[in-house]
Amino acid sequence: MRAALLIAAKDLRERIRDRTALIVAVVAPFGLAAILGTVIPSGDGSLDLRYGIVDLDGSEVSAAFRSGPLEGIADAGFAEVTDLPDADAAGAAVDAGDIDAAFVIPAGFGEAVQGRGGTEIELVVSADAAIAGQVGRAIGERFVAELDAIRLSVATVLAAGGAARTEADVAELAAQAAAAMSEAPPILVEQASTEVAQLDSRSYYAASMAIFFLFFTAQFGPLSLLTERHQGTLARLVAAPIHPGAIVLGKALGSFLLGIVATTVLVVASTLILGARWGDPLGVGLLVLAAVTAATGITAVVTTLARSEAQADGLNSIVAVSLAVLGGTFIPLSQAPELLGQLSFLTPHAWFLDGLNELSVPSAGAGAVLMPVSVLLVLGVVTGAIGLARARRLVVGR
Amino acid sequence: MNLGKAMAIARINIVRLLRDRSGLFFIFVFPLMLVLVLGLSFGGGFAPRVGVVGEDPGALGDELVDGLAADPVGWEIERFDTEAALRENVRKGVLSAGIVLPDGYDERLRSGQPATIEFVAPPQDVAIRLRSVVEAAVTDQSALVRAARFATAQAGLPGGDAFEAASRARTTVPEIAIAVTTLGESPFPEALLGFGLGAQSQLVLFMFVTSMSAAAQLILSRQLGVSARMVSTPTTIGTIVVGEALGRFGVAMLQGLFIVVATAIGFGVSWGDPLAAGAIIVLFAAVGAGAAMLVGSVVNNAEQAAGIGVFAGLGIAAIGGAMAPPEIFPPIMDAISRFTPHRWAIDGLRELAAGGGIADTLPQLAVLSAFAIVLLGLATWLLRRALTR
Repeated sequence: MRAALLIAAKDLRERIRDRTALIVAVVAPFGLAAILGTVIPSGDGSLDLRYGIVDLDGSEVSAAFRSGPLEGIADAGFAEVTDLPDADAAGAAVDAGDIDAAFVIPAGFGEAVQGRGGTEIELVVSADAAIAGQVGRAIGERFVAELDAIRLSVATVLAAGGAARTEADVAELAAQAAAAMSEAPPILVEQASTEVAQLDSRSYYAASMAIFFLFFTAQFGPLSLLTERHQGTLARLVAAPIHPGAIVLGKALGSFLLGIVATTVLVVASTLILGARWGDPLGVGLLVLAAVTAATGITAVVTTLARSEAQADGLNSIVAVSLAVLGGTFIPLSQAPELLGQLSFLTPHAWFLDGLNELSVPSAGAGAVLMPVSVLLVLGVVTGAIGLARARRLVVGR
Repeated sequence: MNLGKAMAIARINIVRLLRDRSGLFFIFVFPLMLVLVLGLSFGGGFAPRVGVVGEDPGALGDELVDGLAADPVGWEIERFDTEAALRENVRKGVLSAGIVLPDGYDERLRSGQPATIEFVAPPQDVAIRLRSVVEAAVTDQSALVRAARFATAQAGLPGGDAFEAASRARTTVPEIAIAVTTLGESPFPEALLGFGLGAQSQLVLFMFVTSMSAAAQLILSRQLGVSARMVSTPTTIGTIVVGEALGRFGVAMLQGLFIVVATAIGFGVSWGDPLAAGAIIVLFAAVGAGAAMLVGSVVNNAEQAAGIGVFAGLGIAAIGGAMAPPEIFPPIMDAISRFTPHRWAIDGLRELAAGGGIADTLPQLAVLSAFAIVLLGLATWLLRRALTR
């Protein structure tokens, strides 16, 4: 065991002196996480929509639109409403980007609504402001649906009534239908807030870059076996009174420790500098431990499949990026087709990110990551055992 | 300068690259993998997914759901069997929101009871936006229910008949419409849906990264003394420099053309006007060659250069909008991204995908030319110095 520790310590010293290791293990993932986290905005930013309203009608109905739904969204704090004199001014403001969209209520709108004619509210939207267009259309449709309800109520009774009615009767009916609108709406939409187990953008990229580069960091140990074989120092190690198992263990331990240190540095640095939120420290610690175990095991197997250093390097890179793409480290897979989402759980990357997603729920403790940690550990132990056995054969057989 | 010799130097550079089997994966396979996953994930134009669940929704429930599915908001409505599955999918972020209809929705409304629909969503802006569309659809259906109930109260029509009467009356009453006019052009034209967006960004990202990783070759050539030997032969420095530049340029062009052809055939990506697209790719390959030669002339450790080159390449790509589309950048990043050649190449390709021609991409072509001239000029001078030192 002492020999294994000595080998691991020597390897680590070498790796730390070699600046490439520092770049791959810490600088690159941190840098990319910082860039991606800044470039890609989180979905939870607040809405800030700017609407204009042109009231060419000046009736009670058009005023109700201004003071009802539009005041409502302004009061809700996600929109700003500006009054504009005419349609041209509205078009110009939208074109110039001063507002996102403008409602234009045509002259005669109120009258048309009172009668039985068709009419419309025009919504002018900037192509750059799809969201403002969607919300604006929905607000408008909701408003006119309520106007429609009165007209529809009257029409239904008239159609069913059979007997001819006087103008005054119809007016009376319309008044009653309008009064009925004050009754509670038959269908209500109630918001049920729910917790989301999803990392925000900054934390996601910190985590995904950490696990992505971990698979490059973890190659160092196994790869150095091939290097030492090439340089002839492996033969010397074997000639020394050291158990071959200890050599292999030392190499694996080097990778493992470097992985732990690098990932810990990334967790701390991204928390302090990038404002990433990793969640419950114990849970994160367990996940990191399990992920490093899995990465060490997998790279050990892959490396021992190669015949030369260059081949091992290439093979490891291919495996690392393939698993990373499939595991959703470059592109979050929550929007991908279901099959792709399910396939992703064949990769340790997806389990690691899933665990962190669970930890992003404020109330989540270490218990939330039991499943991902177990899967990663089993994966690490199984591949690690195969990798160590193969590496041992490589050492003995040289 | 001897063009034959320069071509020979260029050729050997490309052959060296193609001999490296794992390198082939990164040049040809990996970009297509990313295009595939990006296209599958976001090809629908970032359409939010919304789940619906309801026991016994009946005719009114189906009508509501069909109406939501047909709404031009561009979401995908998915039906779920259990409320638990729906909630779990909202929690995991697979669904942007969930709609839970009360049990026996249709019956409830026909029998005069109120119906409360639950809108399950995290407190995010996307939820406000989706909820507003749901509210509009619900209000529209409420109009029918109100009319039926009004008819029952006023004319004594029994529940079922009243709904039928209201449905019939609805076809006679002209609806008040919301007429939407869109000004300007959408930042995401049709041609970019599917695999187009990913193909454009990966083309730019990989051409540059591959060039950068080829910088290591130049350093190795210098360190192993191959360059020195070339200088000792009756070959002018100019020929060697041009050869090395052509080598890097060839690598980038090879990969660029492969990605364009493979995504066009494999994923049906439309690249637009071939002349203009070709011009952008040639200029961007020249930019990549210049950057690679610059690194190859200045840095002396091949391994470090490969590592730094690739990661710098990825970083510049991220800033330049080749990872996340620049259309979603915050204003500051949008401004910064214009300092990268990537952004100009992507903007140019976007113009072409939207149906533009070479005239529409003149600003982009001009900026890319400037990048290429400055980088190649600087690199030529530095390499010349490194070779004659």
